[in-house]
Amino acid sequence: MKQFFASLNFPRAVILGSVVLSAILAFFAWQAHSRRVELTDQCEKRVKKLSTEILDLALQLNQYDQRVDADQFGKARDPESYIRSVAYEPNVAIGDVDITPKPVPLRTGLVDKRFMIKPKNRQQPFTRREISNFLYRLEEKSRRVRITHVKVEPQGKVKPDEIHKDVWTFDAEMTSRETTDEAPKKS
Amino acid sequence: MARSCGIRLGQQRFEIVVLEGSSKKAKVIAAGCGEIPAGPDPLAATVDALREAAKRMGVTSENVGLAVDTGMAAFRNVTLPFDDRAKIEEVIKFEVESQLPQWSIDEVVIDFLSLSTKPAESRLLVTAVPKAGLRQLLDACERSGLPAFDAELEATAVLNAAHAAGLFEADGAQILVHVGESASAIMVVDGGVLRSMRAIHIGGLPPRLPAVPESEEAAPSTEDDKAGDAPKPAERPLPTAQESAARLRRELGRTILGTQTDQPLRAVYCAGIEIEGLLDEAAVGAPVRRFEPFQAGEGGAEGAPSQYAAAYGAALARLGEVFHRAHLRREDLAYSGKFERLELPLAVAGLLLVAFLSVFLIINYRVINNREAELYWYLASIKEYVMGNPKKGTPGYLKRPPENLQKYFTDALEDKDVERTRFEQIGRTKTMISNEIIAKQKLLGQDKDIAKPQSALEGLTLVLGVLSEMGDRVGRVGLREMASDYSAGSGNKPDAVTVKISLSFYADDALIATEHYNAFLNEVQSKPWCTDAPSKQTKPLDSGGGIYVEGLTVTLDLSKLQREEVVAAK
Repeated sequence: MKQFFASLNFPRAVILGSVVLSAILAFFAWQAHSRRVELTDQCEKRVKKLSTEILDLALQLNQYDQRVDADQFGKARDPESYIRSVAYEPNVAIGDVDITPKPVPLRTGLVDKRFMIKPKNRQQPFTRREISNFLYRLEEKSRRVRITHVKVEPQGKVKPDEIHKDVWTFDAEMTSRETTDEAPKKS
Repeated sequence: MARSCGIRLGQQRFEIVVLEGSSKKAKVIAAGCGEIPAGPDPLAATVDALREAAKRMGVTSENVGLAVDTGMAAFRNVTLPFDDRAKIEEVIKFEVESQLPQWSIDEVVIDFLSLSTKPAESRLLVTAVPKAGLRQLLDACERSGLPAFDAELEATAVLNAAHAAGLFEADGAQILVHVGESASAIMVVDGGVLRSMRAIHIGGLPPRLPAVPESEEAAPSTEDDKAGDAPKPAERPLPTAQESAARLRRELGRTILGTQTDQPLRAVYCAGIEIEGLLDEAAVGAPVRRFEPFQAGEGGAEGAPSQYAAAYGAALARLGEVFHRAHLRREDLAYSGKFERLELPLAVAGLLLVAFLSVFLIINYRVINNREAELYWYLASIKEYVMGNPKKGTPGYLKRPPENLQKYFTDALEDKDVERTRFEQIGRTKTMISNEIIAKQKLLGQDKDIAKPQSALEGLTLVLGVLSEMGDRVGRVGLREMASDYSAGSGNKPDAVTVKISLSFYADDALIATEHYNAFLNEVQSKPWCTDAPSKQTKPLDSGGGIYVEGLTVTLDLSKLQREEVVAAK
């Protein structure tokens, strides 16, 4: 080493310095070049697509916000209130109903919250329009619920060849399938 | 073991000695000599002769030392008021310049021997050798494949050889004579210390070609014997061997008489070309002996070993410490090997490479900065589109932007998120919006991971819808009872909705009513959502105007229903 430095003239020092400096510069140049290639690809191809996707998602989110606003089931204090609010709607006019909740656990983490709905007065006659409006509105006002059971029978005894008065009674079941970690609703 | 090669190169002949070992204990590996043929191109002839000899003797190009004709040099005595060698090297050229009027100082190589040193005084014997002549000899060596690492005069080479041979005694004085081709050197060593050195233009061979410019004068002794410039060979009559011997003896006598030695003169040692009659007689009371640096025949040497003394000394100098280290390869004649010759181009190439890489790096960084700015602009634009710009009064796509998204946009634009690149920051905003959507979907019960139960109401509506679609094809129908139930699937069994209806088909007779019933059943069975609709027993109405079907069961799979929204999504 001592001999090496003893013979270290100016050109040799320049060569040595150049080699060391070149190695360092080459490392940084390689890094910078890789970064440049990556950024060029991002700017010229990927970011435009990504921007479009973000704006599309923003529009979707806005729509979901609106749906959440319109979802009466979520807004209602509890499912029974939701059902009764629908039953008392002007075009439904079912009136008071009996609601029997029945949670049915499914596979791990899921539960079907079922609500059996029956008119308070079993003798009260309903038209097909009233019954169908009631059931339709239950599903229409919230995407979270489904009518999973319907039974519509004529009011009173009717023979097969008899034309009845077109008044009916019914019972139905509304189901909301949820994960068990969701905040439990009052049932 | 270290090896070295010494070459004494003159105008007419050369000697080569290869040594192995150290400067104190050297062994002759090979020794040989050769003639340089006369011709129009003496340099080419020298190169060929050297190359042939090197090949014959197996000499490699490692560690070669060169001894050149002493007659090339001029000697001057200089006294300086200091003894520091580095300082002497600095000033010696300027000190001696005025004493060499025949040459430009830049055309000669200046070297020196220290004759005596005191703390405040140095007596130096300065040698000046013309660069042109020396360069010719060095070129010849290089072209023959034996590049000389350093060069010295024959005189100093013989001095080193004699010292290594132990000729110098502390209690005696010796005179060394080296007879060269065109000049001879006489050195006086007193008590092991060099007292004087002079060159006499009396050689052992008649001059042939003035290949190198000779020094124009014979150097005087160290004391005050400065001779005038030497006459050119062409101007002088060629001396005979006897005349040369006689003149040399005269010069020896002059030297002995002119030199006051502290110790008694023990002997005169002669080396180099043998001149008839020089060694046979005692010169001024002192015996004249032949100096033989090694045994005759050692290393395959032809002829008397004394003729190899200069080459031997040059080889010794390459092996280590010697009596006097001469250094004639200096300034522009300095030795440069293959790497040394490439040093400058390599250094320039290295600087160019550094410059190129620097420029490349700068350009890349500028492009990177521009791209980063472009991505920043994209992020800011996305923010403006998504969140709106209250200052400009422009609304964003999101009516109620989530707080965390709003905060993240602000942080990213203020470079607070240092963990992510700009592109990753943009991607992060997409992820945050996607997460918000998933949260909303869960809130709306649209979790993709949770399959919703199928709607019994929808199933019932589909079946009854068939009656409505068929219109007159089913005639008049009276519904008696309707039920619809959803059943969750298990295992391979999918979710299903079972619709059970009781109904009366009115017609003019039972046959037509049955046809209506069958048409209805066929239509139901043809629907994609219908998985099962078995025919049911019918009963004629008591009135005879139709049939009654009780408990017609239709099984549906609503996942097969082609909903408008699903089709639109596809």
